Amino acid sequence: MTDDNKPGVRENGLLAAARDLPREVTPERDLWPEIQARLGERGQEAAPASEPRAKAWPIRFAAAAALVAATALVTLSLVERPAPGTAGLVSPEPAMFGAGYDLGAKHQLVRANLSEDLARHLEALPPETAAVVERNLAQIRAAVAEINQALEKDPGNILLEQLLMAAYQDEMEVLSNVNRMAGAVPSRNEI
Amino acid sequence: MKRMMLSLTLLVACYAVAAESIDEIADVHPRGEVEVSNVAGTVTVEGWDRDQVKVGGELGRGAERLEFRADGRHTLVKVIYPKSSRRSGGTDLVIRVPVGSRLSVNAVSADIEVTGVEGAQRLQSVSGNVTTEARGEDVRIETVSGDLSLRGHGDPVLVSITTVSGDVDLRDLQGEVNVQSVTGDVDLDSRELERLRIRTTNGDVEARAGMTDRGSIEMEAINGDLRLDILGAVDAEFDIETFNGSIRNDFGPEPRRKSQYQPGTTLRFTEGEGNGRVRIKTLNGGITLRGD
Amino acid sequence: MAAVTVEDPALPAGVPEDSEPRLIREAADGSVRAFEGLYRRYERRIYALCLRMTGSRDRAEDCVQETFVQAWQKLDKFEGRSGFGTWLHRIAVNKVLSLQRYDSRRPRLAPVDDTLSDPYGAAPLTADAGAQMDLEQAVSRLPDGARNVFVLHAVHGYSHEETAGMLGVAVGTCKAQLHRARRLLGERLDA
Repeated sequence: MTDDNKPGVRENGLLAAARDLPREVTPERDLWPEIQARLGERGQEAAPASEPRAKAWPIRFAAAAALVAATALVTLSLVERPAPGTAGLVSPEPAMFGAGYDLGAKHQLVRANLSEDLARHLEALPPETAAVVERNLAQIRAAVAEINQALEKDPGNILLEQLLMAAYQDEMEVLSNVNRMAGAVPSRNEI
Repeated sequence: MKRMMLSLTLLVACYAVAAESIDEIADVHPRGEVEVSNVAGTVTVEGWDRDQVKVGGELGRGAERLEFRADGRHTLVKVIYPKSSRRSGGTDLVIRVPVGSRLSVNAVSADIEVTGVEGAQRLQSVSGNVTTEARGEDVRIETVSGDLSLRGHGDPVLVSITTVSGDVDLRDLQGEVNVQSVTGDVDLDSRELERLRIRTTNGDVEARAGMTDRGSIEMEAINGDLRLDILGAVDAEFDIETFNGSIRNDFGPEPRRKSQYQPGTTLRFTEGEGNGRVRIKTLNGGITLRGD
Repeated sequence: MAAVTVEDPALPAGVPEDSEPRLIREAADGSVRAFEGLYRRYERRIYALCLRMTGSRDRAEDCVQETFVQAWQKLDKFEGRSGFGTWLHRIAVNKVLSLQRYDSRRPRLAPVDDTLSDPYGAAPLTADAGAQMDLEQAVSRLPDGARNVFVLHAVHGYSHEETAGMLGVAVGTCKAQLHRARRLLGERLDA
C-alpha cells in the first residue's frame, strides 16, 4: 500500500473513487437459461459457444459402454510372452477410452492391421530386436490399460484423457515406424 | 577344362575372401542427395569441401557387392546381399560427401556416425547406434533399440528423434527439438531452445534446458521420471501435473493435491511475465523442477 | 501464489454464509438447482468484474457464461481452500485473459490509442453519478494490462499479490500497470 501514496491528490482521489464503484452490476438480461442449457453431464463436453474454444478434443463420446477389463488382462499377458509368439501382437485388446468413450472403428481397424503387419515384419528382424519391440509395445499397452482403469473411476479427468490419447498415438507410431523400418530390411527373397 | 577350373576357383574365392576393399568416387552436385543403405557393420559419413562422393571401407563376408550409382544430384551407396547370403559379417563404409549434401542413411544393425554434414539428415537404424551433428538443417533420427547422440553447432534447427528403447543424448541444440521414446532414456543439455517436446512412455528424462523468449517446453511421461533444470532467466507459465507421481519444485510454489477424494497433484504458477510456457505431465512418474 | 485475505472481497454482502457450503455440495453432486442458487448469488459480481475488464457488454456476457459453465465442470474439484467467490473470480479472470489473448491475435478495426483525449473527461472528480459514469468509461478505455490490474486491485480490492497471481504476472509488473492506469485515468478525467 505504500507506493500508492506517492502520486498527487488527484490520483489518490482516483483510488477512492474506484473503491466506491459498485462491485455488483446487474446484467441487462438473464444469462441463466443459456448457461443452464450448456450444463451437460459432468465429464461430457458442454455445447460449444460462439466464442473460440481453446482445444477441441477429437474424441467422440459414445453412450456408456461396459469396460471388459478381464479381456484386457488376458490379452496383455499374451503380449508379454517372449518371442517368437506374436498372437498377442496380432490381436490387441480393443482400444478403450474409459467407460463411456469410444475411439472409433477406424482407429481400431488401422491398429489391428498395423499389428498384423508388424507380426510378419518382426520375423525379418533378429530375435532380440523383435523381443525389444514386443516388450515395449507391451509397456505402452499396459500404460493404456492403467489409464483406462483410472478413467473409469475419474471420468472426465483431463490429464488422464490427454495421457491416454498420447499413449494411443505412441502405439500407432511405434507400430507404423517399426513396420516401415523392418520392411526396409532386405529379406531372403529380395535381390 | 583347366580354364574352367580356374574360373570356378576364382568365383569361389570371391565369396571366400574375408574382406574386400571398397573404393569408389564420383563428381556430384555440392547440395545433392546422398543415400546410403547398409544392413550390418558401420556407416561413417564425413562432410568435405570437394564436390565429390568418395566411398571407402570393407565389404563384409557374405555381402555380394556395393552398388554405387551417382548421377550428379543423387548418389546411391548400397550394400547388396545375395539371395543365399547368411548375412554374417558386417560391411564398414566410410563415405565422404560434399558438406552441403542432404543425407539419408538406412541401416538395420549397422552403427551410423556422421560429422560435418550441413544438409538435412535422415538417419535410421533398427538396432545400430546413431551419432551425428546438427549444422543448420533438419535432422531426423529413428531407431528401434539403437542409442542416439546428437550435438548442435550453433544454428537453430528442427530435430526429430524417435526411438523405442534407445537412449537419447542431445547437446547444444537450438531451435525446435522433438523427442519420442517408449523406454529409452533422454538426456538433454541445451541453452536456447524455442521449442522442446519430449514424450516418453517409461523412459526417464533429464533435461537441462534454456528457453528463448516465448519458448515452450513440454514433457510428458507415463511412468518415466522427468527432471527439468531450467537454464538462464525464467519467464514462463508453468503447468505441471501428475496423476500418481510426486512433484518437487525448487521455484517456490508448492504443488497442490487436486482434491482429497481423487489422486492428482497440480502445480500452476508464473515466473516473470509468463511469456514462455512449461508444461510437464505424467501418470506415475515423478517430476522435479529446478532453476539454474 | 496469493495468500487469501481474511475478508473475502468476493463475498456478496448480506448473504448468509451457512447455506453456501450446502449449495456447493449439492451442485457438485449434480444438482442444477443448487448450482443456480450459487449462480444467482454471484452473477452480479462476476458480471461486474467481466464488464469492467472487457469493457464491453457482449464480451462480459460471454465471459460470465463461460465462467459458470467451467465452474460447473470443475465444481467437484473445488476444495474450499479459498472462498467460492474468489474461486469464481479466478475462473472469470482466466476467461477474460483468454479472450484478450484471442483478440490480440486478430487485428482490430479501430486501434485503441490511449493518447486520444477522452470526450467524456471534462468534469473534475466529484463523488456523484456523473463522475462515476466518467470513471467507468475512462476505465473501459484503458489498455488491457492496465485495465485488468486497475479493476482487480482498485475496484474489487484484491491485494497486489492476489492481483498479480490472478493475472499471471509478477507483482512488480502489476504495480507498474497500476501506476500507468492511474496516470492515464488522471489525464483523461481532467479537463
